[in-house]
Amino acid sequence: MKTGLEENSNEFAGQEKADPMQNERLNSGKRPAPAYRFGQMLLTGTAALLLTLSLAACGQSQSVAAPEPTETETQTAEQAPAEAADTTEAVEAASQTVYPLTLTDATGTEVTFDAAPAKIVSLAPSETETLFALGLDEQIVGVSDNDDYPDAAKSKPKMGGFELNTEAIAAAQPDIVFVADVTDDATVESLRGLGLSVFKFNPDTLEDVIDDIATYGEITDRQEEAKDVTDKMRADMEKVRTAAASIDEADRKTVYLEFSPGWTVGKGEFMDELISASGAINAAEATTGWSEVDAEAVIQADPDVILYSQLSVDPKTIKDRSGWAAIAAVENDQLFAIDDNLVSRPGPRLSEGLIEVFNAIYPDALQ
Amino acid sequence: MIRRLGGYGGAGVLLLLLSLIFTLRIGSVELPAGRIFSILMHELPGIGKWFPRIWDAGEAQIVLKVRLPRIVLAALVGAALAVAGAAFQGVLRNPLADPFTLGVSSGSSLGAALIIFFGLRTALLGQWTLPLTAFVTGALTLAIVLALARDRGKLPIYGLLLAGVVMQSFLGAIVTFLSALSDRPVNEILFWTMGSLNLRGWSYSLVLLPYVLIGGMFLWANAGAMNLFALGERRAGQLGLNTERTKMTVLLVATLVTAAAVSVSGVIGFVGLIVPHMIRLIAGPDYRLLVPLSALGGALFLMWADTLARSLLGGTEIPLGVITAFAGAPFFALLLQRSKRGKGGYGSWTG
Amino acid sequence: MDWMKRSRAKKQQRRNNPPSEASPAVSLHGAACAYEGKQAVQPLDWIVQPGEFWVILGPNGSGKSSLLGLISGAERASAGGVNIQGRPLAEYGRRELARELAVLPQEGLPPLGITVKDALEMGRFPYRDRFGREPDGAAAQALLTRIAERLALTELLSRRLDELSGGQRQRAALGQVMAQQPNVLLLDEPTAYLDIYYQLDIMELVQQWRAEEGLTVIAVLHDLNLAAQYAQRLLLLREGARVAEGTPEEVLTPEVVGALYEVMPPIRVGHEEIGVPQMLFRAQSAKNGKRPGSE
Repeated sequence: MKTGLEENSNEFAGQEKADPMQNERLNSGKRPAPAYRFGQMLLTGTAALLLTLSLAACGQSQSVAAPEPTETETQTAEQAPAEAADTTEAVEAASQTVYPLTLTDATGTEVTFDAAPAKIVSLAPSETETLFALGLDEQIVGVSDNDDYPDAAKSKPKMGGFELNTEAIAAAQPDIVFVADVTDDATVESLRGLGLSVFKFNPDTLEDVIDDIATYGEITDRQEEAKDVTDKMRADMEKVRTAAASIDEADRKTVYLEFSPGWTVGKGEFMDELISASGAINAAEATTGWSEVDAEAVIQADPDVILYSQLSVDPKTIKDRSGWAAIAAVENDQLFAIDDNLVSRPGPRLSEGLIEVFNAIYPDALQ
Repeated sequence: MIRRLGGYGGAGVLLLLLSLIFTLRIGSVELPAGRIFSILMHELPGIGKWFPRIWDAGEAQIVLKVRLPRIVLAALVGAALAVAGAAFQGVLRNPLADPFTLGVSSGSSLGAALIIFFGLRTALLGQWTLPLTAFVTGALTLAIVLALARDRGKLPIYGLLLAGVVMQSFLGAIVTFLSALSDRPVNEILFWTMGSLNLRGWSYSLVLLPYVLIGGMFLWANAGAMNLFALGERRAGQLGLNTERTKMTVLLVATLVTAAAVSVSGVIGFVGLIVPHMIRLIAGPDYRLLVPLSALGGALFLMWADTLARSLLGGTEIPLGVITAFAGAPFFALLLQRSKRGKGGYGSWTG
Repeated sequence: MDWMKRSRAKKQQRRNNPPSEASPAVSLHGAACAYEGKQAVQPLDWIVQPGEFWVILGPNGSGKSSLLGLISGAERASAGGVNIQGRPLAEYGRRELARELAVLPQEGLPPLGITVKDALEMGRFPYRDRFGREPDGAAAQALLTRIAERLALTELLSRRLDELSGGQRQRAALGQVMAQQPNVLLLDEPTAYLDIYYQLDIMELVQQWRAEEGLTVIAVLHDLNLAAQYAQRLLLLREGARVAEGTPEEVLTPEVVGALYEVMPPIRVGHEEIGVPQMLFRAQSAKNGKRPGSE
């Protein structure tokens, strides 16, 4: 069993560390001046003792597991949805991350973390939201142009939008760069080619999103905060699932989504999953991804509810659309705006988006 | 000539009606022909009562408010672009001239791109904000091109072509730039520039109709003048034609018709280029035939192209400009082959 | 737009100045042509009476084409004025001018896909209204048939221009010009691209036309001898100015011609059959019974 004191395993050491400066920084904590060494040893020893005692006391069988190279799965104990009531156990179940930590990211690359990253660059709004939710405000040294939540994110140095400002990213000398699906693999490769450590997340489902947040907690040694977030998300989802399950088959509503003028969303996107999780039917369920609206198909599907993008769609254009006047949703004026960012970002607010969607479809069904 | 016009014209109209019938049948929702017929007949005053309502509201909406207006709009846009293309070819005497030669497409695209980029799609005039802006910017582009090309009171052809290229490059670059800045999940600017007739109701056809009718009539009336242009501007002037005035007015009207079509449907290329050539192969180079027959041919062409666009891939729409471009390539290969074997070589194209 | 104002002004002037019967077909009063600093035609006074056959001769750059352009209205006079049938050229509307005066193009008709019949009909454009209708359609058709016969184009009527030879297309061009029924015909080196057969052919046809209808002809020719055969009067130009004017007998002397073209004075002979002066040229190097360059 490895502890933080041991030398870094060198199997994968060289891979991510072409930058000698980075090398030094990560290792600098391990070779302080001799005067401090004793104090450190004492502190670490005490911590280890306390940890072992508390673990023993709780009777948890799982400990800080040896890091195993796996697909972005959580390394810690959390498997079942945490009980919201059992906070004490939850607090004690969250643990400290043991470094070095090696994980495989969405590009299939193994990334090793020698310590909790002290300088983080995030290149997607969803990742930024997650990082802030874990209390990593101080550590974030760069965000993408589009990151706007929370407010603090807006004042962080900008690292580019669709076209990344690689100079700025390199100059910030981050310990890790977190990217999402919006950054393609080729860009990730070129960033890695500059000697940067890049970790990509690409969740497909709600569950994946939650697991990823837990992974974040592990990487950044904020497992407690991560658990808080994932617990809340799971609770929200459970609320909705229960409410959705209680709806009769006959009362199930069909929903039409329009999140870009003239475009709808089908399978494979989070929005679609939110619809199914809410116990409704997506009018465009036969399609995948984004596609131009097929007016005939929508009229035939006769949706009961229309959800549209708050930012970019004017409901009047939908209502006035030729031939749509007879659709149930239009006749009964069941058009609702949804905050785009809540339903398209694979981050901590996705469950909020789920609740918003559910409430729009089945108002007053959620207690 | 009148006889030939009657012959070809009659055939064209017949084909148009047949196409209407066939294309109504095609769509993502399966509707039997009999029901479609009944739905249509039901709308006619007098006969309507013999076709009682045995279909649901959705089906009637699909036929009357989604499919039919779209097919009619396709016909109008096709007619507009083809007739403008014929006029451009007649006056510029260049077989590669099309309605977008003077930069209208890039001008309109810029207007549309700006509206989309700044999220003003539904500001002010609701759904008409974008088409109106696109029309205005398209017309403005023409004005700039004319000003650039004007040389001592005349409009030399080479000057017009060059000025058109200047504007196309410049404005096209701006549009591409705006398109690249798009961070939305769907690149709306890009799709607008590729052309689409999706989600457009009867009002679009009503708006375009006067342009096609009046513009088309005007251009037809100038067909005799276009015939003279084939002899060369100098000779045409010697025969009594006011070449500068004719050039100016024909280009102006053709461009306005084009701008109207583009503002309604996005940029649909190749129609204005291919259709007049095809008609020329069938009916000869006389513009008095070419202009009206191009309108008919363009209507037919785009009706079918749009039908393919909305039905080829099941539920997914293929941008209309892509379909017409696919038709363009083999056509030009054919033209190239013919010119190699042709008697007059490339010169006979200008006839 | 100013072309609108101009046409309104023209209509007004037309009402005020009707053409008079006894006026010369073409008259120039100090008319000059200059552009971009170059003086193509010096101010010139010239009268052409109805029915005359004039040929303008001169070396390259002497202003022959520009002079023709002044008369046809293609070039704007930088000084002075041009009158057609006694009326200033500027007062004519385009169609009106096309009914009065026609220009036979140098290259004939381009090899287009249109038929000969269509090409001839285009000559009627100045007489048609905006819908393409003539005041007397039957008479116009009869005229076109006559023209086709006269020019031996009847069998070629349905053939496309791009199927014809250069000479045939020049004939078709002449037919188009005849359909305009002008009073004045301008020819700008109409024989430049034709072989001897077609050169004579065209000149003969023009001559016949003139004889039958009293046409006034002003031609620019480069072939002196052809000019001598057909011209009634000659106008010699050099560097935009008149050098000589008169009948072929009067004007075509070895000294004048030699000085005009800056060559050795030619030998003048009388044509055996028709008696008109013909010029035989040679270069400096050819003399003493020897051919050029054989020293």
